[in-house]
Amino acid sequence: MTATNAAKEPIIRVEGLSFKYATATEKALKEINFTVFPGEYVAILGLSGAGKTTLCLSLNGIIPQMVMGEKEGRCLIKGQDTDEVPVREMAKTVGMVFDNPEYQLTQLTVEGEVALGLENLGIPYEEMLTRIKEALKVVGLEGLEERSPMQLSGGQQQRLAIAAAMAMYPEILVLDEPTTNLDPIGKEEVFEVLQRLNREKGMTIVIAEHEVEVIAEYADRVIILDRGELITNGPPAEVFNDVETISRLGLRTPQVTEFGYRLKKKGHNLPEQLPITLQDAVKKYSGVGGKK
Amino acid sequence: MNNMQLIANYVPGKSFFHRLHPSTKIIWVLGALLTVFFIKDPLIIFAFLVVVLVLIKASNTFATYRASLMLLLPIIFGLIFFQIVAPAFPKPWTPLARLGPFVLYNEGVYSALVLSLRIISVASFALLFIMTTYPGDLFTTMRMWGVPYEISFMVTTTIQLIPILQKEMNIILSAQRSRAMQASGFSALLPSIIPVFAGAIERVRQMSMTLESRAFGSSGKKTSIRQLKMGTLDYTLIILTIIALIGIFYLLWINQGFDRSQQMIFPAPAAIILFLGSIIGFFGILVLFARRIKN
Amino acid sequence: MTTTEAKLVKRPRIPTTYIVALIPVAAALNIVGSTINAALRLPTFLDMIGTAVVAMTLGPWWGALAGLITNIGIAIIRNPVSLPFALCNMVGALVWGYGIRWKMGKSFGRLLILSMFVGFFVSLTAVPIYVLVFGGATGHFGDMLTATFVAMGQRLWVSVFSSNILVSFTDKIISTFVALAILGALPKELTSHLELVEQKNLKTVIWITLGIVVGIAALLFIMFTNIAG
Repeated sequence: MTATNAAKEPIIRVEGLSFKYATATEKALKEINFTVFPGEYVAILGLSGAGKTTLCLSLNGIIPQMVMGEKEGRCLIKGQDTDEVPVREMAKTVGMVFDNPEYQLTQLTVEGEVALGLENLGIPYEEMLTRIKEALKVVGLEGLEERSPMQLSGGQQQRLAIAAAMAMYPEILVLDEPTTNLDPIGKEEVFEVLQRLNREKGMTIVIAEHEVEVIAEYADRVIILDRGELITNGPPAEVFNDVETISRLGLRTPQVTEFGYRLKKKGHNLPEQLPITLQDAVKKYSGVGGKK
Repeated sequence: MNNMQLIANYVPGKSFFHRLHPSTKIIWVLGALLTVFFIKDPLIIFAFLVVVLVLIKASNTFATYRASLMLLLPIIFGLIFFQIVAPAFPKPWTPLARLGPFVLYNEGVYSALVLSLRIISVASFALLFIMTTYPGDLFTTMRMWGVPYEISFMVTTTIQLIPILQKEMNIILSAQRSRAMQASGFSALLPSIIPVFAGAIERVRQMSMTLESRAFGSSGKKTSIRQLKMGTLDYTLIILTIIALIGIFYLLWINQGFDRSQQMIFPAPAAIILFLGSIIGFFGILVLFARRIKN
Repeated sequence: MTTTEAKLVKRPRIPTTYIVALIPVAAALNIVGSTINAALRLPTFLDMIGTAVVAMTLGPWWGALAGLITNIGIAIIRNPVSLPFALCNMVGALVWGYGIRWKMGKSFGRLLILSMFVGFFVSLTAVPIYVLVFGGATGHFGDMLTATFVAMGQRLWVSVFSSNILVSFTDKIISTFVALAILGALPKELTSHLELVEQKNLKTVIWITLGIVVGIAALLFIMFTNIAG
């Protein structure tokens, strides 16, 4: 990745970003610095209150344009400052999915919901139909076009919100804990959709999430926030191997890593780099403990 | 408190009325409104009402129509009562009977008939339009006519929000009731409005963020998912309607609105029955509503 | 904290999307309020609380828009006959909005006077509609009062105006103070620019309203008895 990134310009550049909500006494974000390159899949990890939502909302300018508070530093999307470009214009580049699905649905039908963004972009009718069909198929809601969004289950509503955001073909898709209200199957579906968007369409994905297993499986990079500060920023294999730091922050590592870490502590001979996904673990742990 | 649910009036279907373009129907409703408000002959208005009722029946919307029309009854009873004793026609009035402090007039009975038929027939025709028009199409038409996108959006959102707010309000009201508080009257209702509104504000905050994130209000050309085309039938009907309206207004002008208040003489007992009936009807409906709410 | 407050005041304008989203909530509250009002048979309308909130926070013309949208919504989901009353809702919004701008919200007394002004102008708009279109009827408990005035020998429009203004005063005073309580629960972004009195206990407001309305009603009865006699 690093070799190709060197040639590319970063699509997101966050420089010294701090933010304090008007009603709060402490800063929600403190001096955050990082960059994201086109096509990357970045996960933001942290406890609730760590600043994940604040960071997500900063990426399309909702902070500081629609939320009151004091902001320092800069957030550049394709070189454009989020202070200066209105959110509604930035929306053409950055798609957003929020954590509460019910509040994101404003139209009378499922179809209308996906169409809203496309109508605002001025997409011609024929193409709109194709995109709606495609988006609903990707999230598994085909056949429900005429249904009222209010009649959908929580999981379906969240997938609809994702469909509405992705149909606009944004270069960057930012998702703030999109699977909080979903059942395990629903979660799995959402992550598969995101992976496909990332791999097939080259969409840059930034997702705030607390399920470490899925982060380990899908993300290219993990950013850990703690009380508004950026703690680590690196590939999941590296980040999750620092088990001490992660547990000090009150977070979890993937269970397979945790498992390896404990075995290692007991003196078992395990590879330097512990596995972070189940598949990886099967490969690396086979042979440990010997065969019958 | 289930009966407090609002009636969503659109009835899906494929009747003749359903297939017309909303613009055509709006022109019809406006035309009917203008015409009926200048006609002073109850028989003509009644004939128009019969036609509307046949159209409603033909569009398979009668059940919805009846439920909606029920809401109009108290005002109709009130209207009959007031018009009989204080007609909307120039004096002198011909007294028919006297009941306590009220004098019942011949012009009053006439005027009660005209005004109530007017309201019922215009309401019926407008309801027919609402019942056969998909709300989304209405908003698309509004935009076609140059109404800003934001306005039609706000109307859509309002309609979406109503059942949600209603549900939240009912939850709070029944919670108060279960705590053995009297869930009726101001003291229960008013405080419940505040958390509902404050909750709705959180919804609004997120909705407004969502809207901006969907490029709502951004620069550039806008398109629409609902494709509505004016057919030949629509154009023909609109032209015919305009010609008919010109004809009708010429006739109305020549005949001074077909005012027959001086020719039509009602028997005194009829006036008394109508007058007492309006009182019984007015209170009857209130009691009926009250009973339905208690259950 | 002082720096935060300075920032609050400096905030140049409320984002359009806030407006686009606040108005539907207000309109929906109006519609739900009027439905519940009808269901509980309260002697008010409660169909303008949302309008009051918008008129006070965003300004008179946005309030008028909320009023218009309220009645379009009612037309679509209930009955189009009530569409002419959009005018009343809009007039109310203008009086509320300009009243607050002209510092009528600074003290309890001023706000009380403002709400009675709203009631007066709304009645002034509503009565011609009631008399010309609906023959003087409202389909509301107020009709009994109108009937009483008619029985006392008053002309129809005088009777309708008299009974309507009593209902209207009750409704607008209560609506104003419920709206004030709602403003207290709104995000600071929307309300920091307003000069408003502290919110009052709603029970007190109801008692004061009752006092005012009973007083005016008594005055009307004395006046009408003398004129008739």
